[in-house]
Amino acid sequence: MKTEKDHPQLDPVYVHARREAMVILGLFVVCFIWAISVYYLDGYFPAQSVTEVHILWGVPRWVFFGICLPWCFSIVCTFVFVFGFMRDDDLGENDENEDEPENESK
Amino acid sequence: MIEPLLAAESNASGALIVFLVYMAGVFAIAAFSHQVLSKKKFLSEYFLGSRSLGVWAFALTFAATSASGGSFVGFPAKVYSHGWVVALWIGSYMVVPILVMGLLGKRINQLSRKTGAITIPDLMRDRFESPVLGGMATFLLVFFMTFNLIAQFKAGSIILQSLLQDEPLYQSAAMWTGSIVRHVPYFSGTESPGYLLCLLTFAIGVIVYTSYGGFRAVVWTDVMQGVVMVGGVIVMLPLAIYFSGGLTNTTEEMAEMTPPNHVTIEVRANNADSEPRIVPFGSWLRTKTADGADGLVRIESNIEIPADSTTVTAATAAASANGGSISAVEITVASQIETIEPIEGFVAEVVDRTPYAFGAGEKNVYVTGPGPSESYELGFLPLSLAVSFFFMWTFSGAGQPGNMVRQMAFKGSKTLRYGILTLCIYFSLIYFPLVLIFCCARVLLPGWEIYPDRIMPEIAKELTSRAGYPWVAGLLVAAPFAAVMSTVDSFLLISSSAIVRDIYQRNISPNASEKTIKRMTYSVTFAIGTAAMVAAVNPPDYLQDIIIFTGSGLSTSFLAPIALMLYWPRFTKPAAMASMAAGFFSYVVLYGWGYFTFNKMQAIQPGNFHPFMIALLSSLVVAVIVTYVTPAPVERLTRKFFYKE
Repeated sequence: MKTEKDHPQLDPVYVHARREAMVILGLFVVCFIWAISVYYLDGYFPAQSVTEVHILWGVPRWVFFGICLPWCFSIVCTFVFVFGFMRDDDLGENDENEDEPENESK
Repeated sequence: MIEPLLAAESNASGALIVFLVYMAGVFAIAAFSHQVLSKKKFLSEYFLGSRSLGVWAFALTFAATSASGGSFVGFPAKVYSHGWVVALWIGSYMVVPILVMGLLGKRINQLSRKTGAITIPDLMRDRFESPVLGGMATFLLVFFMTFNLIAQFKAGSIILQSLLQDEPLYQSAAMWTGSIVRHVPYFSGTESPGYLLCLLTFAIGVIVYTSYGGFRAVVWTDVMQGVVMVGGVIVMLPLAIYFSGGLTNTTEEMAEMTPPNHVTIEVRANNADSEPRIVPFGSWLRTKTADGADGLVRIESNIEIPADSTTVTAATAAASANGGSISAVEITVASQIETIEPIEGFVAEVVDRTPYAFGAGEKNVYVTGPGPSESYELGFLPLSLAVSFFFMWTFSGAGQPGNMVRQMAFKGSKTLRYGILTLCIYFSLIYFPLVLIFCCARVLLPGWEIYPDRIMPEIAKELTSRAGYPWVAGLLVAAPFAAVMSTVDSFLLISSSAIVRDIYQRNISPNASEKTIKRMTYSVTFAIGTAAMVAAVNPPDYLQDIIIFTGSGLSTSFLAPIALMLYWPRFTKPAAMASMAAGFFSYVVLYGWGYFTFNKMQAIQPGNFHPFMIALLSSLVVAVIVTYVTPAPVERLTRKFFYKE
């Protein structure tokens, strides 16, 4: 008992949620870099006239590689995340006194 | 049975019937929710639906609340006006679902169950045991929400107007409204009787079902509205692609397009007439250029040709309230100039011409970045703004109190998992297809630069009448209406929960009986709604700007402190306050400074980044600095929220 009080364990819900948040931020960074760099390299012409635009599957090439592909990638990642990574945690019961003004006495 | 009946009518009647059926559905849901309400604990049911949202309710209420009128009015207009580059502008919706729900969802839900918090200020107060912090959060929430409600009410009224404008019943009702309010001091200053009628219909509808049914009613109407929205997109997408001759054809044609010019014109009729004549808004007129070539312009307002006259110049046009000149859009695409039929009997002459600031005369601008822009020399989406918007949609979404409240209300972590997936599929079905549809609209309906916000109802009419089912247009135009309604109802509830729970119950009268709280809740919800409605009778301009201002203002104030209080044990109470204040003030200062510089609601954008980025960053930096200079939080709180009990 004593050791547990001195070295309390982190709440597993917190640990899982933190890890999941990191993975989500990682996915954001990947999609962000992917989309913006394709735009910069293939779709962004701020100064000069554009003479030719490549079209792939009906959309401009930069949209295909810079938006459609990472979008699909993100959908696949979401599937994997939801079914293979995110934990089912017990988030607790409803507080019996939650309609009361002060209920943190619990 | 109802189909042939509707098909026989004009599409305008379709719109009215869709609207009525829709409202009936909304009120049925409210009545049902009210029944449930009487069997549960009042406050947590009224404001949180007893934390029992399942997957569909959770995902669709999320989707419907975050898709406001902008998604179906302003966004299509952007795609239409700037082309393919808008796909990147909205591109971060690829990660929005997982980020907005997954980043904070589990912890918000867990902590709010642990503390019994019902609102976001509630949660902040309990996390730090600080009534002052709770009060600060309540103040910010009510401040932004009030602005937003007024703007949303105006948006709702405008959309309802466009939905019903061709309806004879509506027109006579509008006239009747006009004759009643003509002598009422405040109401007579309203935009138009039609606007007032639609505002009252829209607002009273929303206020009644929201205050009567509470959160459960809001959520289930959101579900219905979410289905209407995705249904609209799914019907329109194949039609748009089919009628525009396929996607490849659309993109190829867009590549050939050069941006139009904004012009001022003089109009001459070929013959005089004894009656005055009206050339209606949106008419195409032939122009003669100096070198004798044919040109084509589309007028932006009605113009009147007086009796026995052939000329309308700027001077006489002023009499018909056109602001002293006849504005029009001049098409510069050769193939369109050849194929569009101008109205006969009139010739226009261009007296003044303003080309686009970026992209004028250039081909391929509609299929590449930064995209054509009327007013910005850097184009629509320079790199710095592309970066800003990628961040903004995701993190601004994550920081919306409306979204956070929903994360308190789902049933368990399984619901959260499936909710993320459902929302991911849902947003993928809405946002990218909308880009496709309105790229096709550029090909199908040229010249709507005269009024881009109308492109959504116009394309709905065009596609459904070409397909032979004009009444379906009513259904499609209901989508933006549904979107505004589902945003307004949830904002209304957030404001009233902040007042009832955080101000009245927890600070003014902790011992109030359930009966008093009930009465208080109904009347506060009703009163806030009514106040916003009355304010919207003479609404502010810059509608979309106000919505963006308040939306991202809420996130810059709330995202950093809430994320950190959920994940960082060392985060302290003073740091939470400082972070919230820093986000709020830096954002408001950038806007205030911009207001005095540009004399309109536009923020200063240091380095061309959106003010959201700068305010969020300062909120985060302040949070970290203040945390390290203040003493660590008491161990009891850290234990309670971060360790096993």
